[in-house]
Amino acid sequence: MKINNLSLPHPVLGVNDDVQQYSFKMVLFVDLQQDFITIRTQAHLDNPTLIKLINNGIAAYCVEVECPQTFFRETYLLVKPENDIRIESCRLRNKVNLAFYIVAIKKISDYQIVGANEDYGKHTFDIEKGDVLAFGGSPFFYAHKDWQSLKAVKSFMDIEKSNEENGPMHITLSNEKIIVSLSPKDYERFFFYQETDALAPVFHSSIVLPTLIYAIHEMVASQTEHEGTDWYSCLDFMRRQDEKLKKFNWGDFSQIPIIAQTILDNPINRMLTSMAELYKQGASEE
Amino acid sequence: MIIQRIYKSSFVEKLKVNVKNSVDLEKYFEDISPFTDEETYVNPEIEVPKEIRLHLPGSRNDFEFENSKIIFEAYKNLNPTKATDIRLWTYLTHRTFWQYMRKRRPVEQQPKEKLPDYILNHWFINSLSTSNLLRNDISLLWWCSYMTYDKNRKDPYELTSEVFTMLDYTRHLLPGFQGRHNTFLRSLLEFVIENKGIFQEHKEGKVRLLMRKSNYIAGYRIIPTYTGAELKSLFASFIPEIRTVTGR
Repeated sequence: MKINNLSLPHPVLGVNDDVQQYSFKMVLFVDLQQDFITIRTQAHLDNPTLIKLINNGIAAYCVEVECPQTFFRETYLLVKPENDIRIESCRLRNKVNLAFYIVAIKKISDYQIVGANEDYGKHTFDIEKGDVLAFGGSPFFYAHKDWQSLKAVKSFMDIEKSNEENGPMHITLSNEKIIVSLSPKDYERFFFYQETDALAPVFHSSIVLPTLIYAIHEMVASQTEHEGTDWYSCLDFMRRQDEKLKKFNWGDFSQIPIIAQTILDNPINRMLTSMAELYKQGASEE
Repeated sequence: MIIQRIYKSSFVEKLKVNVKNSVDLEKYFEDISPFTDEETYVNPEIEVPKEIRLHLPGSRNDFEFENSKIIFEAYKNLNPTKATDIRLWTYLTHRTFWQYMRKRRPVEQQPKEKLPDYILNHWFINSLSTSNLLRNDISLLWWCSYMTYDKNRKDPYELTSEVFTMLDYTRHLLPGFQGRHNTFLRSLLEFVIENKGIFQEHKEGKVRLLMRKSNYIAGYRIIPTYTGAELKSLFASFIPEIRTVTGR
């Protein structure tokens, strides 16, 4: 329910200026574990009318959880300000939308709310079960197993062997990950050297960096096409959470190469440093 | 039991690009699957019976309900996250259930210009969404059972049977915002079953009206806060208007 687009007959706290001088907010914390996702909510409400209704069992906090990709949609009616909602992690994938309300759980006759906009005058309203009395925001989170691991390139990119005997590198933006396909010979060499720490910056610069630049460009230029994919949600999560990445204007294409290099922690510098050290080692052995 | 194979993501994308560009479309006219297991992984978390036989659609019956039960029973250890894996469903339509797909979606009946979209809709999952999961003809069978199976009913597949009586259920109700709320979905299906007399004639038009009226109220009220009984009571309030429906 897009409540901000609605004009309900009765005043709703948190929608436009229906109710003034009072507020309703939900603080959210999400704990992602292997088997369960716990959504912790903490309600901050200072409107005396609604506090009384909740305490008397006539209204309740309502948390709506919806995952567009897994058919999941549940509504939780809560009476305490602090709650934990546990959901099996196998029921959620990628973006999970939340909405916070206070709703009537019983009919209310002659409803008035303290702080109502003076436009309502002395009007009273008949409220039905399910009617929204307050709106506390509609955040979302990504239901990945481990938010920290999202920062690793492996979480959104895979390197595979292609069938082209001597072909170039190909980049495929699949529903799951960004796939880099190397010719069999190139893949063999990559596979052999990938565990060598000193060469990691070389791979980051030559393979991962151009791939990431392309993927971010596609993410921005064709958002609706890629929005439901796993790799998109990884990059989107980074964009929103990482302090260094938040500073960029992702809509400015000229910044995309810088964004990609920030994600990879300055790969050109690391590559050249590594190459210089390898060269020195080679020279000293001679 | 065997371990399930799934296609590699890169291969799925390659197949999709081919179809979009009308390349190798003649493969979808073959009676035996022209695709191999070459570009696959095994997914050790999914074990399935060695052989799964679906009823082949005929001129009078697509056997979707019967096949939905077979697929759901065979893939009962799938969870919702695994069941959104595009690679799995693409493999099943192109390999395991190729003959079913050929009968269910005969490409010969499609005009040439519509063929790529037809194949993309039913053999693939073009982009991950609830609508597209219900357009892929094997994914549809699993998800419809998953959303309606109820072990507490005398016949656990009673609601599943109702789902396959009308295209509107799988095209609009299940993938829609309201239908994804399980209590709402089950209550609506139960209401239609329990009021057979009302829905005997002009069923499609009447169910559409029921869904429309419910969606209208859900636009300004959180009806998932209602219990199943309260939802059925709400639906019952629409009966006088439902009875007036005489067309589609």
